[in-house]
Amino acid sequence: MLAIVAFVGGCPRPDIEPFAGSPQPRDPEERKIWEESQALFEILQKRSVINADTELQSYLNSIVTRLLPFFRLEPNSVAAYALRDPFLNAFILPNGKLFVSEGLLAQFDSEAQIACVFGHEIAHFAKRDAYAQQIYNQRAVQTVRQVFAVLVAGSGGLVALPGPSLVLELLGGPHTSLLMWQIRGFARDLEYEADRVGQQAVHAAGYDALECVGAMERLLQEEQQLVDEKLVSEPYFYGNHPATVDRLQRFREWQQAQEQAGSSTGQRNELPYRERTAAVVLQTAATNLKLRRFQRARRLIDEYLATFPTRPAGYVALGDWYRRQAEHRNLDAAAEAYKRALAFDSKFAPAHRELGLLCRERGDFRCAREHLREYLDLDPHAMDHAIVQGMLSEIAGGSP
Amino acid sequence: MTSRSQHILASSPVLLLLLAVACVWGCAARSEFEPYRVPREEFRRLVHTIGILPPGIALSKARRREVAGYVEAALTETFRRLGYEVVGSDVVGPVWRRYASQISGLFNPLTGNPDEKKLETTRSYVARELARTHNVDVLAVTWTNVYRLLPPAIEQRGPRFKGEMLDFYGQPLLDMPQLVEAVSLNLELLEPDGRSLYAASVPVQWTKVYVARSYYTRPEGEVLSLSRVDAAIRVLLAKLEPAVPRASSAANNP
Repeated sequence: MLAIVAFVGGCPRPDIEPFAGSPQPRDPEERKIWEESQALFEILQKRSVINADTELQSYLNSIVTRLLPFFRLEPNSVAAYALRDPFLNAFILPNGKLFVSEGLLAQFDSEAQIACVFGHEIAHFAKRDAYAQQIYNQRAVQTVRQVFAVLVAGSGGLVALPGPSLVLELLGGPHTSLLMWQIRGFARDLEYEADRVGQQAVHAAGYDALECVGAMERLLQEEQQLVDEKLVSEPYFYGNHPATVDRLQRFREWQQAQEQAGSSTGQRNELPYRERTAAVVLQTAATNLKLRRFQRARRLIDEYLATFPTRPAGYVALGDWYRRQAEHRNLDAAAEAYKRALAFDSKFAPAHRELGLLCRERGDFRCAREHLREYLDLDPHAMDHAIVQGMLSEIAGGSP
Repeated sequence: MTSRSQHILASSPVLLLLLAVACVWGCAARSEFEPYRVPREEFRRLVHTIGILPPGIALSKARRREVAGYVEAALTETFRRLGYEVVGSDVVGPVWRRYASQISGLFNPLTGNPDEKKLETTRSYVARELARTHNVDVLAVTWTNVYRLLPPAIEQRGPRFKGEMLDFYGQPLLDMPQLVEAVSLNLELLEPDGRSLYAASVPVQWTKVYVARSYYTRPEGEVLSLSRVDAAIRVLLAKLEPAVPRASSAANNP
């Protein structure tokens, strides 16, 4: 949805009965699509790109569960997973497995906003849009690959990381047609319909449906940033796809209509959302630092610290931001940030490690010894224990 | 064995060599690959100093050192000619090996797959160390890969690879498709903590081909000769942009 490419409309969408109850494939062609979906899911599992935090997954599924009754779907019809992908992506496979990237989770700031995305995707799933398009629209897969080559080329691959955008990497593989509709977007009308129905589902679930406007605004903000950084040439690839700006305008119109109708607002659940996605925000910030996306990383870190001003992890992230800068590198500010983390929690091992390594880099070996020893004492089972111990031996031996 | 067969076998190393040359140059002439994984402007802004990891060459020990030396020499010459600073494998290799061994290896001993967490941890320390001591921006990682392919026969005139017919003295090796093995040379320019900026691969030469009812395996001494390596490196780096001067404060800080 959010690595958005338009679908050039082909035949009009056939009349296909939506899912209800417990969805199952209804003919051999659809069964084949479901099997391909399962195979793709297994690839994602094997690549270790699915976030393994079971509490996060459980939380995302609790949001899905609230939305399903609107679509007359049984619980467990749709299962949500977070992908280790720092960009904005969300898609649902034809068999009901829904994926949302960590980047997207980090971009939003309320449960209602992510519910808007989920509602949109579940609308596609419930209406079996992918199946319909798969059968009746035979768009060349190669065209999709060419379009997405722009984004893949701009991502750097991130060998050690799932890869921004993982979804787009996968589009180069054998599951391209499967993902095509989910990622590129369906015909304009189908996308608008999914937005409209999704928003209704959000309202029916007791959320504040006006947050869908907020969600679109936050997407637009990030899309423009991607363009500014030249990671994409433009956010929209095909003329038929409703651009985020258009979708935002529609959501605002629906918002006005609801306000006039006197519809009551619902829940936003900002704090629970921020609490449950806090680790994801910092992880996405760290990944953006590796991508040299300093502005986005800083925005995420600042949002984290605004919500959790006494948590040391945020200050360690801030210290990393100052340390890793290119043009605006500030080691004094980095050291201050690490020390602030320790002021809130003197036993926070990562802060000791980072301060120790920074001191070593600056040639302050007394400081390095103090903090690196403290790090090893606090986290005796750290993966880098032997590396840090080696550094301490070198310092003790007089060589940096 | 007929005299013609004997003649073919006797000539085969030379002809395979010629075919490999034709293959590499043919590939170079027709190559339309895009090696950049990031926008070129970003690459030029970020990359000024390249550290060379010891090349991974799948040959026997003595030959491996020899070919690794060719590869590194060819890479170093090209990088320097384009204006990049180079830090050799004599510096980069020990740093990598030290951290990899301190973390007790990077691969799962049961499956042989890389342990992603250990790899990420090692990379981050290697990155910081090389940036601190030598201002290294990217690591040049090279490795060989042996793969099998089935060059298709076209119009019954014999197997071809990228448009070049496989033949001995103008006669097709076989008038049917055959499975052959070939070796490729691969290059990736990686930021030390994992992001790939540039990646390319080029087939170099045949290592095994079906001839006269049996498989002919190229003698190891002929695989990846100096001239073959030079040609391959030229192809791999054909699209590498010249370096730009480093902005004074734009150091790499992993």
